[in-house]
Amino acid sequence: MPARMPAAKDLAKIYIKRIEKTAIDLRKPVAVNWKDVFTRFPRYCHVLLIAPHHTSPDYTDYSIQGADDFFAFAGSIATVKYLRDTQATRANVEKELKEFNPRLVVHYDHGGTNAIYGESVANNPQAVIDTANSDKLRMRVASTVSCLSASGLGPDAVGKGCTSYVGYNDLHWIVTSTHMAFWNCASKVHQKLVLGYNTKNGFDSAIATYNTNIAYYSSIGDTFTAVHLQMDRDRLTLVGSQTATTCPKRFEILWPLHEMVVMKKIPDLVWPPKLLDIDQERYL
Amino acid sequence: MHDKSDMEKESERELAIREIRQIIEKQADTPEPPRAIGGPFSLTPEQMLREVEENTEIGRKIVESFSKLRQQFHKEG
Repeated sequence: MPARMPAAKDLAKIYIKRIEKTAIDLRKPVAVNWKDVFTRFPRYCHVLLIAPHHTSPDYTDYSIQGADDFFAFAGSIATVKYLRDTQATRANVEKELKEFNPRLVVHYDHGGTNAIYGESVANNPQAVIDTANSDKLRMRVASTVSCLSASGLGPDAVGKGCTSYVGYNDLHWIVTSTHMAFWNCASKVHQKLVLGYNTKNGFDSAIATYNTNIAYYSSIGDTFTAVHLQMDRDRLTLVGSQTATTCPKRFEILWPLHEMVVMKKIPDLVWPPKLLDIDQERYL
Repeated sequence: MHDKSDMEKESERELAIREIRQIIEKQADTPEPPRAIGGPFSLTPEQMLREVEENTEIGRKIVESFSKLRQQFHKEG
C-alpha cells in the first residue's frame, strides 16, 4: 500500500499557502544541483574571437592569419562570433560581450600591461578591454595572444570576476618566416578549451607544443626561431581557475566513433566531462 | 661572488653573440632575412646582434634565452 495520500482539501491548502508567499520569500536562494542540470542540458560553446588588422607592416599582418586558422578550427565545433579587422572596435566588443554573451573570449593583437587592443574607426590601435571595462569579462574565460597583458589586465580581470585569463606576461614574439609555428603553439590553449578541456589542460598542451617546436627548430639549426619560441613559452601565464571549462566535452572524432556519430548512434556532445577523462594525457 | 656572476653573464653574452653571428652567416644569401616581431620591435638578426652588443633590456633577455636553450641541449645530450 502506498503511503497515505493527503486529501484534496489539504493539497488545496498547501497550494494556497504557496501562492500567498511574498516575492521576497520566492527570491530566497534554492539549492540547485548544477551537475544534474548540465547532464540533462549540455551547454553549447559561444566564442568571441577578436582579431584586428592595422596598417602594414605590423604584427597584425601575421596575427590575423593565426586568428583565421583558429576560426577555421573552432567554427565547426562552437558558435563563433568573429570580430575581424575593422569590426574589432571597442564598441563592438562591448556590444557582443553583452548580447552574444560568450563564455570564451579569444584575442589576437597587440597588448599592453593593462589593456588588449583592437581597432578604432580610423584604423588605429584602440584598447578594447582595459582596466576600465575588465568587469565585462566576469564569468568568462579569456585567452589572448598578445604582449604583456597577463601581468596587469589578467590579475585585474580575475579580481573582478573573470574565471580564468591566459596570456603573456612580457612581449609575445613571432618570427616572420615561421610564424605559423608560433600560432600553432599559442592557439593550443583555446583549441583545447573549445574541445571541452579545462584551462590547465589547454595551458599544458600549449607548453608541450612549444617544447616540441623548440626541439624541432633547434634540431634543424633554426636557432632564431627556437630562441623566440622559448621566450614565448616561458611567458605564457595562466591566471585564475585552472579547472574552468568553456564548452561541453566533445568526442575526439576517432574511428569507429566518427562512424557512429555520423550514423547518429551516439551523440557527439557529452556532459559531464568526466566521461572522457581517460584521454587527458593522451591529447596533451 | 658578484664578480663571478658578472663574468658568467659576460661569457653567456659572448656565446650568444657568436650564435647570432652564425645565424647571420647562414642567412647571408637569403633575399629577405626573417624578422622577429614583438610589441614595438621588429628585429632582423643583425639588429638583434646590436641589441645584445649594446646590452639593452631586450638584448639581455635574448642572451638569457640563448643560454637556456644551450643548457637544455647540454642536459639532454
